[in-house]
Amino acid sequence: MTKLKALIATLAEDAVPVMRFPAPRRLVSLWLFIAAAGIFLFVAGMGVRQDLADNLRQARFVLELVAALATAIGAAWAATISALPGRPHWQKLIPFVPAVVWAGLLIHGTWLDAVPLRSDLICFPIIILLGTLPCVVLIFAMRRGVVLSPCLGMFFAVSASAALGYVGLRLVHPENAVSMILVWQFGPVVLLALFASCFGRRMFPHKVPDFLMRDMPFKRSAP
Amino acid sequence: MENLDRKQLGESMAAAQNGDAAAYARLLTQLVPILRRFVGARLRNSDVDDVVQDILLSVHTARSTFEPDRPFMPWLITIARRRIVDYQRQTMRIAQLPIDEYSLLRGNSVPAQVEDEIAVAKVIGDWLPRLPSSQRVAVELLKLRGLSLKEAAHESGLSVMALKVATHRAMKLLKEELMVGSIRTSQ
Repeated sequence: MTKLKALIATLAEDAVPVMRFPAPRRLVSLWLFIAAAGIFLFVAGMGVRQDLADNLRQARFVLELVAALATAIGAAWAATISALPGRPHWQKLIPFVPAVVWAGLLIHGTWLDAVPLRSDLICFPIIILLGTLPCVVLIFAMRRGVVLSPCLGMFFAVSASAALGYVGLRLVHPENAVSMILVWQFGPVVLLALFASCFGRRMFPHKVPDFLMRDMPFKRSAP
Repeated sequence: MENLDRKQLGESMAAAQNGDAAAYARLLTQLVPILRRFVGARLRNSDVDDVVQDILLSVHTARSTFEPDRPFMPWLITIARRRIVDYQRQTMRIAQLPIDEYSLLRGNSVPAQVEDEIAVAKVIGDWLPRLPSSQRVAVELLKLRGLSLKEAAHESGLSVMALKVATHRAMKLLKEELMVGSIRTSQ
């Protein structure tokens, strides 16, 4: 008990005012604004695909974009609340609802139009290019909180950013074969998210401030 | 816990976020018995206070993430659960390492160049009696008398895993002790 008392005294001495983690709604709005600005600049620079106006008249295309955008926003929300302990777990399921619609549309479309696959490697770097800024912004924000499930937090952060990259890619890249979109555009989003989740612990390490370990009047025996 | 006003715990944490040291000390003191019960129900060994200590440190580092308009207990319990899981993982990892490796875990080795051997001997002499009994026994049997793990387990009545964990912790403490000593010497 003595060492716990000493610990409490030390922690209380260090009770300086702290800046609260921003409300998730505000953080996601800010993230979306920054990410959308980045994508807008990219699309403006590259020029929109020539058949965009025609595609926007098709409900399927619009629904696919809305589902991808909703997945991005939902995943950004889930990533944000990953840095906030105590939020209900069901909130982390939010991005999976639009993601199922998004994947369902693509799988169903692939089933309907049997176009043979060919190589379309440009999609992958564009998604990475478009997703980098949103990803950096989101991870930077999350590191201000406490990500207790780092791999899951990283998965959501990269999913959100890559899904936004997908939306940007669909606006500039003239690809209409659904099987190609599924493999070369949706596939990288999933792969990137899964791959990045392996680096969660490195990105969101659990740290005890050094001064606590150095100056404490008590001795720790925990590993 | 049931008798405590949970709303009041949240208010104390909100005050702590604003720099109210007294409210923070009161809050942490109130949390100790809550956490002891919570951890004690999940860990069967004698390390409850160590884990409680880890949780309090995490509460401290995570205090900016508490949202005053949300309940306090789910926030606390989420942190506590995670630290218990971390502790269990770490204990398992240490137990799986061979004795020679775990005592030389990265960053846990005793500084190689210690100029004043007499000072080191004094530090160890001061340090050994202050260790918890299981750690002292482990160090004496394994490090000073040079027994094997099996022999030490047989002699002490402790399990091999318990001996490994106890020695690892003792070595970590020794490292801290020597580091503090070397800092004082250099000053």
